[in-house]
Amino acid sequence: MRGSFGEVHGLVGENGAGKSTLVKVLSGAVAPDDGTVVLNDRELRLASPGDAVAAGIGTVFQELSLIPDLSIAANLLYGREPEVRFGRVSQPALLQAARRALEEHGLHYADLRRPVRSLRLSERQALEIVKTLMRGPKVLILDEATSALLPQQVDWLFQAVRQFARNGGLVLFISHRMAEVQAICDTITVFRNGFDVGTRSAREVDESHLVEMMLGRSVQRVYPPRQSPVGEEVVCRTKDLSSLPSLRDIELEVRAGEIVGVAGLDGQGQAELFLALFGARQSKGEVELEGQQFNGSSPARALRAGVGLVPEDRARDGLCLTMTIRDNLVMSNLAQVSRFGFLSRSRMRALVDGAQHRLKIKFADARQNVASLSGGNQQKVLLGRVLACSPRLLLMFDATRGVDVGTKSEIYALMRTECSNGVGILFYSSDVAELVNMADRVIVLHDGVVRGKLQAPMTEESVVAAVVGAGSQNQGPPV
Amino acid sequence: MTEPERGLAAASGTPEREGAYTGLADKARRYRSTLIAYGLVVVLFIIGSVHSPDFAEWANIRTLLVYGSFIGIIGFGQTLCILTGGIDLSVPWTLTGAAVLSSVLLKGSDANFPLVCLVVVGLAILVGLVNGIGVAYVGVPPIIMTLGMNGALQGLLLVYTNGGISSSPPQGFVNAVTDQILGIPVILLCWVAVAVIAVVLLSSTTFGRRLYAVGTNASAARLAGVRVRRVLLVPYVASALGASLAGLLLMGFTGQAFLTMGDPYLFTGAVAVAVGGTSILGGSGHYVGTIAGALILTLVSALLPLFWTSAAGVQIADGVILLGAVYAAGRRARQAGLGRRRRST
Amino acid sequence: MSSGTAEKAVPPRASSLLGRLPIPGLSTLMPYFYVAALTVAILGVEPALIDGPGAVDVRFSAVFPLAIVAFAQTLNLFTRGIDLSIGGTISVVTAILAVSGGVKGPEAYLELLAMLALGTAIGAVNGLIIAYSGLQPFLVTLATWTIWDGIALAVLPVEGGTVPARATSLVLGSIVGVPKSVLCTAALFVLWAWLRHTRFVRDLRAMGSDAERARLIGVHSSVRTVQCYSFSGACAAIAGIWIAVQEASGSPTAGDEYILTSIAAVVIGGASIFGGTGSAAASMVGAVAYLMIPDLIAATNISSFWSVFLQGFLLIVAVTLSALAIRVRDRKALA
Repeated sequence: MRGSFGEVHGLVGENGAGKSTLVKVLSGAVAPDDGTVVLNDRELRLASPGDAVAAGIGTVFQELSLIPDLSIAANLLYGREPEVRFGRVSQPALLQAARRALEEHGLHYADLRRPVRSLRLSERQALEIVKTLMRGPKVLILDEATSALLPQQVDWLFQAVRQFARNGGLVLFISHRMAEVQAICDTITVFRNGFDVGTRSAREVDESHLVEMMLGRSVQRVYPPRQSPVGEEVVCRTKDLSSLPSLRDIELEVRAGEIVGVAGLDGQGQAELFLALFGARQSKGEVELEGQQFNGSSPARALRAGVGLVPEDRARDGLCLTMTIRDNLVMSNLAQVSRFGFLSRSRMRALVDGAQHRLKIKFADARQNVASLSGGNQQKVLLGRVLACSPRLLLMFDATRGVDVGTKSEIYALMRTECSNGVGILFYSSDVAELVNMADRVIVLHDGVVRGKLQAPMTEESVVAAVVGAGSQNQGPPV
Repeated sequence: MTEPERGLAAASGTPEREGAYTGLADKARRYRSTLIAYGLVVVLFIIGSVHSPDFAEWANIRTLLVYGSFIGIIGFGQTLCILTGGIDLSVPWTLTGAAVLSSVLLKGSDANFPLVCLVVVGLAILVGLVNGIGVAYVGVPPIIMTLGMNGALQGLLLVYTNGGISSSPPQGFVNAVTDQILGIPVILLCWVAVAVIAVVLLSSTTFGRRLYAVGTNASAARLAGVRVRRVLLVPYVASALGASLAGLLLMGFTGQAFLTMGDPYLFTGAVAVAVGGTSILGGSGHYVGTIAGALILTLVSALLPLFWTSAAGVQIADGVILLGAVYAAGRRARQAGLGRRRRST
Repeated sequence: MSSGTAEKAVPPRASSLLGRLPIPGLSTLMPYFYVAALTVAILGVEPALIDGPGAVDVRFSAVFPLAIVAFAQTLNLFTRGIDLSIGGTISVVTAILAVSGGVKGPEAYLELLAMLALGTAIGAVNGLIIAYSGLQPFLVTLATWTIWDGIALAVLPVEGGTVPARATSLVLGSIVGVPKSVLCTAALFVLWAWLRHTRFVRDLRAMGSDAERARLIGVHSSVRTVQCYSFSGACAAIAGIWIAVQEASGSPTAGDEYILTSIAAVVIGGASIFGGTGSAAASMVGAVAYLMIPDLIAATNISSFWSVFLQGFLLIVAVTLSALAIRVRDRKALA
């Protein structure tokens, strides 16, 4: 791959295509097995993050490199504090320098002594960006840097990026948001399966061509069609559902066999909505499941009431990675696979076999650690566990993230099957194409409130417009 | 999932290696440190037998097993606590409390023994529940909660006994505890009973699965429908009950109840658990390993005086061996670690 | 970069004002409240308890060793670690001093320096093991505590001995009318005021707050670990010297009680056991609160054994409040 100074170079590709690995190599977090990195005709040895910074490569990490318990100022100026005497940093000087640096880049935070932990995700991401820019790198790597930013912050970032390029720097812009990539980048390199499959000028290429290069086939992802009509019966209805401070007055309805999509930028209340419906988060308001009042005070209650949740981060919130596949699959159904509290091997095997068959999970032995499976199969184990409870309302929170294309198709097919069995699905995805092709209706959340509703058939443009439009409207009166 | 922040953990779930092993390989890996621990037991025993022929006599083995029983019984509750990422440091004064309280209440006669037993059990459950509620519902770190409880119990006992005990346990009780059934000491039989309960609980019950889930990934367990807070109560209640049982048995064994009874047992249980291969971070390990750990500690205490005659030498060697055993157990724990994030709730 | 499109800080909403308060900061204010409450209670019951500099000296002589180990333990806790071996270090230092009563003159000063070096070395070894083996600090320092307590036992099998006279005269007494115990304790507070903003402490807090990210931004975790535990060992040595002089003797188990009480002081002082937050000053004030309880009990007429109970109880109360405060903070952080 070649990047030139003064250009904004986009890197696109599916999850697992190699973009993040490239970033890790360039930022010094991971050593390459082979090949060279050359900057300004000089070969670089990037053995540590420090080496990369010293070489002039500034990376805004996807996971953010901010220390939660240290102050905003301390994080911003880590390693470059002003006025250090005998190892001690002068606090007033630090605060002043931090404030000045932030204002130079157009940011303003109150009380820079606050720990970073107290900032919202979007504020943290903006801080991380400024922290990297401040070091005056020659190459700026932005790895999914816009995922948590509000629209006006995205504009701010784009201005900063253009300025940086104008001043002669090279920007590597990694994002799965095609619209942004095409808006800001001059050149785009596509990754697939760990290889770069081509570099194009942004002006010459359109999205479908890029997607074609990413997928290696000219066909759009296969979305199975709806198998049966949406039922009359309402599986879930909410009224005035609030979970302060992130979610307010949500009214929604999911019918049997219906897929309701949830759209919106990251951090707009989607997670809170799903958790509240699952009883994993305190909430107020009415929730009705199949006509019955539901006082969801715990996930255990929700499961019994027929609600299933597929959480976002399967490694962190979904699976117990060091436990066996079998243990993970039966976890929500322990009462059903036991007698008087004692586990029944035969019943467990029946459940495992059933899940393996239904979801086509590939494993050799159910007593393997679930961590030994690929991402896609792990996701299937998670789904298997949730479906084993036969939920009537299925909450899927970005269930296809980090999963290969083949598994995604299988998950879509699964969703259609569940729908034809009368299950209602609430489906949040950061991938607009999925929403457009799978959902019957889409609601757009912004700042904890429903700000838009769309009905199928939808186009990706209309959903994106609704999401962006929701973001740029004036926010409602403060709570 | 309180914020859709991309965690570093999102990087896990790497592909490949699917057909590469069977569940048996995972199981062997999982239990490798336990096997090493039992290997160590055998090695230590051989060293003792080589040093003196009496060592391998049943009489000596029996004595060693009795000494190990106290550690083993305490180790049960401690195993459960450590599997959930916690620990119980209130063992010393729970143990002493059970012994002292029953000694004072019995007043030297067997008459009220069942009633006194009930009282002791009731109080143990109370102590365990307070610890458990503090840890599970209030969110107090286990080290601190149980440490505070230990101090509180010490204070209460000192007040209750005014600093000293004057009554001894009834002779009938002492006889019963030091007796043997079919040649096996009663104390050892108690350990066997506890061990059976422990192994069955951890391996074959739904509670066991829930316990491991909580220790492995509490937030995932919660979203899977495990009632995490209720599960967390059990280890501390079990530990308090185990400590009380150990206290009563120790009282019978030594023929007296005294205020410093529990002092040697502050960390002993936890050490036995760690040496037996259970990770102190929680989520992996088993009571089977703790059995080995208890035996190792007992053998080390028995062997050291044979080689070093001074108390100081014994203690120093004890510490060195502890370091070695912890290192050996720790290496395996780190190999098995998979970037699991610990959450404080 | 025009400021027209800049992000303005979210205007404080009424409900989030509480979220703006440094809740962990609240935890570290609690020990001052405890001390104030206890002072009021004690003086209310027995106003004559403090009857002059002598009484002050006695109390601060007990405070100083606990304060200095609480100081060190706070730093250990910043890194999510703990140092149980301070017990062994204190024991071995008192033991060595107790058998060297025959040391005359200025050589005693050399011996004190040697003790300081010993403590630092013990700590450095701890730090090296912890940093390079990846073992839990709890287990490593548990083992080294056992070892050094054993060495103390070898040096001094029975409590007793005599401490060098020069050491005693160095530590005891007053300067310009102010008891040295008060000056030394005050010096610790001054030390913290300086230390808290050093890169050293900032790095320790980073390591405990998020070890992986700390490494990512360039914190030298191994070096800091060794430095942290060396400091801990040095503080324990100083405490050992102090205790030996105060008791005018040594004991092979002199340090044992200081381990759990140092943890108690740190917890009462509001530091988080999960690392990253806290204040050594608050921990030292926590030590003061902890030691005031026996005074309170003595001032009343109830059995002195109640003080043991109350100390455990204070610990539980303090940490419960701290835990609740953290839950409130976490809930606000979701905003």
